[in-house]
Amino acid sequence: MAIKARSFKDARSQAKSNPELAWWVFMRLSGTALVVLTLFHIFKNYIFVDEASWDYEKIASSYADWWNKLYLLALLGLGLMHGANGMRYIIDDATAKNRVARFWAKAIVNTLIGAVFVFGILALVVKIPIPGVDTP
Amino acid sequence: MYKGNEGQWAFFLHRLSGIAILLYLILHTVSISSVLLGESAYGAIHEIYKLLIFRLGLIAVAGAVAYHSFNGLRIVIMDFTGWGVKYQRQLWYASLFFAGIVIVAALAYNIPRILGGE
Repeated sequence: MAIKARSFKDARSQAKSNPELAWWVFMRLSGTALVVLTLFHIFKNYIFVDEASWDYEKIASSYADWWNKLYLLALLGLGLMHGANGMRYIIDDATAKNRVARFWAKAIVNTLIGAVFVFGILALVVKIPIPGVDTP
Repeated sequence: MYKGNEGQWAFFLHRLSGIAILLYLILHTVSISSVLLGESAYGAIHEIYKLLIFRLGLIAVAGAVAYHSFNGLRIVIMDFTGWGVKYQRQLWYASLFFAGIVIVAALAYNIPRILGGE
C-alpha cells in the first residue's frame, strides 16, 4: 500500500518497510529532477522546434553527442523508474481485493517497462550511422 | 482528507496525467529508438505521426507533463515544508497557472505550424 503521508516524519511512521520509504523519497527526488529535465527537453526539442523536423539524420546526429546521450539516459532511467513506481501505487489501489489481478497487472506493466528500457538503452549505446558522414 | 474539494481533483488529475505520460514515454522511446532499425523503418513509423490527431496529442502530452510537474512540486512542498498543507489549495491554483503558461506556449508555437500544413 502506498504511503499517504504529508511529511517525511509521517512517511517514516507509515512505511511498512524500508524499500517503501526509499521509494517515497525517490519519487520526490526524481520528480523534482524530472521537472527540470523534462520541461527543458520539451521546450528545446518540441515547442521551439517543429517535431516534423526530427528525421532520421537529425536523430542520428543528436545521438552522436555524448552529453545528449547522458541527458537522454537520465530522462529515460528516471522517467521509467518514476513511472513504474507510480503505476505500482495505482495498481495497488485498484486491485486491493484481487491478489491475482494485482500480480498480473504488475507483471505485465513491469515487463513492458523493462523491455522499453532495454530498447531505449540499446539505441543510445549502439552507434547510429549518420547519412553522408558515416555512410555515403 | 480533502472532502471532495480541490485536493481531490489535484490527486485525480495527477494520477490520470501520470498514466498518460508513462504511456507516451513508452511510445516515444520505442518510436525514437527505431533509428536502430534503419532509416526506412524510422521514416515509416514517423509518417504516422504527421496525422492531425498525433500533432494535437503532442500538445496534450506537453500539457499533461506541465500539470504533473507543477502539481508534483506542490506535493514536494506539502511534504517537506511546515506550511505547504495549509496552503495546498492556493498551491494547486498556482500549479494550474504555471501549467497553463506551458500549454499556451505549446499552442502558440504549434497551432500555426499545424495550420501551415507543414
